[in-house]
Amino acid sequence: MKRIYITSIGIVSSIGNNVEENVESLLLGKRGQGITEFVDSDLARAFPLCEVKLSNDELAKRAGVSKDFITRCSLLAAVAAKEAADGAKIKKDDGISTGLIVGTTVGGMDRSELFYREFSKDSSTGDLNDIKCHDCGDTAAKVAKLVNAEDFVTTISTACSSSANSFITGARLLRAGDVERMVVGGSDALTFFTANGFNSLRILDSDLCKPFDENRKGLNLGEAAAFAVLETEETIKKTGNKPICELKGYHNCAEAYHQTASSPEGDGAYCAMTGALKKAGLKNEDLSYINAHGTGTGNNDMSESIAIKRVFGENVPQTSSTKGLTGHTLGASGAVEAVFSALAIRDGFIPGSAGFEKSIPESGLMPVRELISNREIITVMSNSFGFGGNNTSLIFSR
Amino acid sequence: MSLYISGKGAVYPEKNEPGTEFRCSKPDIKEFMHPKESRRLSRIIKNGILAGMKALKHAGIQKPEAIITGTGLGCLSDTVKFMNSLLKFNEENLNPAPFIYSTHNTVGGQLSILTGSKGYNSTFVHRGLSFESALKDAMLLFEDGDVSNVLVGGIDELTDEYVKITKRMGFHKDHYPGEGGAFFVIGKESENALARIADLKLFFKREKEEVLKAFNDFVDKNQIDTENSVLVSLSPYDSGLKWEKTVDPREKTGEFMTASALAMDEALNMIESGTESVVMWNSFLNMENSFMFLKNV
Repeated sequence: MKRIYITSIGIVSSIGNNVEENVESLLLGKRGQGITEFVDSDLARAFPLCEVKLSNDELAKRAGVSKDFITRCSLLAAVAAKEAADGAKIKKDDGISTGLIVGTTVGGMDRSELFYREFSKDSSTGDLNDIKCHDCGDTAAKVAKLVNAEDFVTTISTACSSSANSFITGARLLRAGDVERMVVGGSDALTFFTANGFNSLRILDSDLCKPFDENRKGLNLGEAAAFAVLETEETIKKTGNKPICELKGYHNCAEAYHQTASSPEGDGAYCAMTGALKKAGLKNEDLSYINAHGTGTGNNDMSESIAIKRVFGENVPQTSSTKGLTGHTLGASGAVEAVFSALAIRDGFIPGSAGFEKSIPESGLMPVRELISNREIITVMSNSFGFGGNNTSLIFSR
Repeated sequence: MSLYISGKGAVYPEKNEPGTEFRCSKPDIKEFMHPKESRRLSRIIKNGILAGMKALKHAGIQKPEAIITGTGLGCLSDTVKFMNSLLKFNEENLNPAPFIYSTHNTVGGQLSILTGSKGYNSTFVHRGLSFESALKDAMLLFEDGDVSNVLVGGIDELTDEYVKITKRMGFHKDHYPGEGGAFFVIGKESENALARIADLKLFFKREKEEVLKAFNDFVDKNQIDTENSVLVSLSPYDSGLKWEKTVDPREKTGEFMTASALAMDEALNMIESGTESVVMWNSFLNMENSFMFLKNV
């Protein structure tokens, strides 16, 4: 079976506008929460949100894109995908077939909201430019052109595991030989719609979130985009790129339990983690670090920590959730944390689990509190779980 | 690897009055779900359950090993419902149900809960190629060696808002808007199969010349005897080739992002009644293209 490598990464999040700024924040434990500048909503102003500190105009300028990029989702994606593609020296007509997969939950919803406020009062009003990019495929279609990855283009939406799943389909396309190089990742912008959705579920923390803490109250919403370039050994012979790490294993499975909740025993998480280890041909003790889904909600952190204990028993690898730093970036979170996993391997560190103080009694999981640096990190597992009982684990290796 | 279709289930829309869009009638899913459980589910979810369960029943499978769904716009009516309530109630005390069910992977998630299928589950949301992306992903899953059967389908729903907005945008000029969907069971076994998926190609360039060339290359590569094949076309272009017959299923289904799923159901009906091979050509609003070659087993 062909081996799949990450040769380049790109990211924009509330803790940094590029890869190196994100590294610096991870090392300093800098948290991205703040008061929103770009979402017009009373509710959003009442909760801490992890917003990317760039306006839409600034994002467009940074990515060098035209007015075609209308939605914030596509602008965030443009910045991060361009950083990843430039790092891998992807050029137009360079003789290497290249595809793109974007994971997203609400795509162009930020502009649809503007449209709908007018349209709902009078259906002949509302700027059509604001609604024409509503569909989730808009971002991928535009970004594929921007980064010269138009040989296979698609979009995945499986709630909060969307962009983790883009790595799986991307790897399969490479293995099947459909394309030689894939840009995979995801993007989601903060919206009025999602902020209210999560509030209606009563799972937003009005303070800074506390993943895996006994007294956790909920999640902080965030926005981000992150992408990775995947290449095979044969592609690397042509590009001369140096791998950052290998995508060693992956597994996605449905929990078949409930539309939004995870089972108390964490069956879906257990299935994803054990399946990914099997696919990677690794043993439990081979893992150096788990970047957990760890949202800070009562339900997720309980079932995920119980599942981790079920998989690893008394020998749980170092585990942390970076959502205390970036917030929960929904469809982008799987790719954000895949990028962090690659960085942990590249630079030899484990980010701390911001907000954690006391273990959940039922699982006793003790995440890494403070940054661990100067540590050899060989293999990392990254978890992403979503609505509909959609569970994905990815394993990256040096 | 040869892959076969062993079951199909479709939900077609109807035309209620001349000059209007095609809409599905109210879905009845009590055969598969208790009315108490299904009362909060929107039409797209119920139609997805109906089409998916019909396909499984047809194939004689209770629990598929994987479920892959394609939807262009997902759960539109729940999205609109949640948006209306948050504008009306000014962001306070909202009912979370429409938000929960507005997620694009709701149909795939509900089918997994209903069948107890705990395998791979993904949802593709890429405009006119949402269904074909799902089908392609199913084929990749077989190559990765993990499964022996997959439930794969495409589905969309329209709302009054969609009809008004796309009318203002000037979409659907040549066809009325539509909705509905279909699911299929794909496997490696040829026995009792409805048809073989001989080839599927997704093509992303949009220039007319490039698209026509790619289609002709597809026909050549598969050595398709066009004069003895039916062309099921959802494309604005003329291939310039001579076919046994050309069919545009949008005359029965209307135009929508996953109309190609219903077109595949139509193609399978033709194969069942004796057609040897069918070529499908999809190009929603002349954006991306897909070509598929289905053969009698």
